[in-house]
Amino acid sequence: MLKEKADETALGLQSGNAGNVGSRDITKLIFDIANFDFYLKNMDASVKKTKNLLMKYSGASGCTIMFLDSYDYLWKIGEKTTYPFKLGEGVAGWAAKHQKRVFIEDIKKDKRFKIISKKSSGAILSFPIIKNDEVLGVINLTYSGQNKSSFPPQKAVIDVFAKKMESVLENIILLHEAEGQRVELQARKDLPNILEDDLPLGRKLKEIKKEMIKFVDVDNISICVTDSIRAIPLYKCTDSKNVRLIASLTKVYADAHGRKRTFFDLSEKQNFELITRKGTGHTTIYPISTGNQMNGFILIEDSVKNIENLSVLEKNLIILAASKISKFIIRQQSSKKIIEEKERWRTVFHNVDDGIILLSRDKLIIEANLKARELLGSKKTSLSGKNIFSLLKIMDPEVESPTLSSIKNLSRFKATDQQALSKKIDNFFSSHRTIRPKEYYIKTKNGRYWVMISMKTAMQDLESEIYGIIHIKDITKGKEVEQDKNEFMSMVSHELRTPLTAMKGYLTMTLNSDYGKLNEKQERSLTRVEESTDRMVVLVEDILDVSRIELGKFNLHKEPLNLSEAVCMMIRELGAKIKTKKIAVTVQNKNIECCLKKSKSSTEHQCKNLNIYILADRARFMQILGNLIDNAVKYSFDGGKVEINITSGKEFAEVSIKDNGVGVAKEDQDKLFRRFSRIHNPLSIQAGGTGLGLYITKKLVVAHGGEIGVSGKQGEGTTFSVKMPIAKQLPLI
Amino acid sequence: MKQSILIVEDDNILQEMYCEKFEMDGFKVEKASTGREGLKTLEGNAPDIIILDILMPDMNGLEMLKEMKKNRELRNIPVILLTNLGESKIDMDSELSFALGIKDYLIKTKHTPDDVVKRVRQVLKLECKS
Repeated sequence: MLKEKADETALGLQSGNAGNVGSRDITKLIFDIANFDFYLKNMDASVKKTKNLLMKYSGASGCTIMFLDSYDYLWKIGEKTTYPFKLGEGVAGWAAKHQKRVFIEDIKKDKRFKIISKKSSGAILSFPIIKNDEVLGVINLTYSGQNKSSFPPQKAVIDVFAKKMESVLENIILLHEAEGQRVELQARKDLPNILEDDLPLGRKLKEIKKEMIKFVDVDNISICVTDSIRAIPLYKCTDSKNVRLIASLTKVYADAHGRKRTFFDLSEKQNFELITRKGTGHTTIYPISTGNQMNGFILIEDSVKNIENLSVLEKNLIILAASKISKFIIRQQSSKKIIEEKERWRTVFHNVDDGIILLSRDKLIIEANLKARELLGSKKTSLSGKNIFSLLKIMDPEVESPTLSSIKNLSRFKATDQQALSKKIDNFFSSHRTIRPKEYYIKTKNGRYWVMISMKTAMQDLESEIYGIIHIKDITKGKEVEQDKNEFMSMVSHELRTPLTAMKGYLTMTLNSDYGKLNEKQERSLTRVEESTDRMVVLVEDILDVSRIELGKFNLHKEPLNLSEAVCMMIRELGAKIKTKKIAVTVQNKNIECCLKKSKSSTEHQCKNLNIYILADRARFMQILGNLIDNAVKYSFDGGKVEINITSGKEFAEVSIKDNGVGVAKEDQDKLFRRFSRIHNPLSIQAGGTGLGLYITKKLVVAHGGEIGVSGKQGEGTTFSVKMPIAKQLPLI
Repeated sequence: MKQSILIVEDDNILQEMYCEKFEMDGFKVEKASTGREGLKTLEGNAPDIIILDILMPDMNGLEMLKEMKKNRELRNIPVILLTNLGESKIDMDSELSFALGIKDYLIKTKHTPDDVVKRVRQVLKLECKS
């Protein structure tokens, strides 16, 4: 305070030196000021009114009122053009900086101040507008020519003015700030609204720009959204006439982007990219970034303003707009991604040639794809919320088969698959286990289909709506072909067997001398015919077996079988052959006399005593044993040896049949089980056979859940071993 | 007294063969080519045993059996199925066949005419005993 007073004294400002402003004037002034509408929302109008009042009462010839913005630039208000004064420039700057009220009569009069006044004959009065020790602006009063006589103005006037001016300006500034905040609030409110609308990006940019233009006072605002990888413009929103500028900026921007130059944070002014072109004013570029990616820019063109001249509000609005755009891009990208993903998923879902059904926890259909709809109802109905098993009925295919149908009609209905399937479903839901594919013949609204149904549980996420997936594969076409083939085979077999029956029947009758005794030659030739006929019968049976196996058309009636007894029976059946070739057959290292005897002597039970029971279809297992033992005999040289051994484990029993015949080379052993594969060896021609025996044997063993293996060396004989599952329950008898 | 047999078989050659065989073995043989024909032959002329093919036109063997079961006089005639049907005996539903009073089920290619005659005699012997 003391210092200020001293300064004032030094300047020669004295009360009472007020000159020609009378007390009437002061009353008038106070009255005027009291009525001054400082709540005017229009700052320019307020300032203008203040200016007029000031000039009237101070007798000044000119008045400038300037405000400091938050970047310490002085803004001249009350004129049409606003231009900045840098702090420290001129008297006003000095005054503002030193928070002094400065009265300047003439530079010549007072040399203490290095104040330059170009009007040597005039005087400048300059004082800062201070609020809470903060300089808000400066008022300059100029006295020139005839007005110079009224300088300095009455101190009382100045004091009242300064004080009032401060509060007026304070209010104006407050109003201005309030207005700014309101505008910003409105803008913040409006921008997100624009973004939340489901507008296409191009439209949205236009809307944003429209909002920006309202509050950012520059010549041109352009918004450009580019792709984030090569900075290719995707959307442009510009009124700029300088199309080339936009293009080149895009290029500059793209280059910068390409070099991965850091693009600025709008909140720190030093980080603004400033591109100024001579003659075209200022061009400022603001990046729109999404995370680490650049997605475009906002371009500000103005003839006067560069970034440094933009108000806080304007900058904030630009930042806001940029961030809104980037948020929108992110959202658009992610929603686009979701849409694309969904689209991709749906494309696959509906174009798969299999029926896929998503099931909920309560066993209802969540969604069914087109194929599933086609199979279960109609393509148009969604099936959602329906119970899958109300939509399909499991049929007995045999009843539906056109040929042989009447015969099959008489045969017992199989345990209803419908029940089996619903049981499976229950199981599926209770055990969370995958249900393996199984064939069903189903009847739906749309017709009858052969399908393969399997079930899989979906991710075990408790939140997940989907419990599991039912997969329905339409195998009707294949099945029809299969069925045709099947029926064809049945008919062929019947047709082949009938003449064979006649041939065989008459031959045996002739050979049995039903038509009189045959001579030796007749008998020998007819025996050859009989042998050939037998081979033909075997061939037909084998081919039929193969076709049945390949069609999966043989049913196994599994029962506990005494393994050693079965072996014994088979040996007895092949007894004639064994005897002819003089093969020494042993079972468990005992010769097989016991087996060959038909009488029920005590020795016969030596075989039975092993008491190993396997679970097998009697006829099919006999076929397996028959094939293997017959092979062993066939491929042994006369007087050879066949050893049969039976062992038992926990789960499986094993029969091994070892001969000391021709043997099979290691590399050929795999081929043995293939169709029509016959390994060439000295005995194969003599042995005859169809090349199907081992193939059938293996298929039968596997169908029983067993295994078959072969070992041995060429020339040293062969060992076949068959593992069969053990019967857990013994026969009742 | 000669034992009588009805052979129902649609294939001429086989029919002739089995007829010949049974006649040689001292049976009085009646023959039929279809199930319907078989039923006609049975009217008032019940044989001691019937050899029955399955796959035949007009009326197949099993249908004929069903018809027989409806008739009190024919219900108890022993029947042996003799067939070459594409299914083996195991595949065939034996329960049903035996429910229809089938005494045996023979496969033509597997069982020679001799076997068939033997089986017929066995069945007849058992029938006599019972």
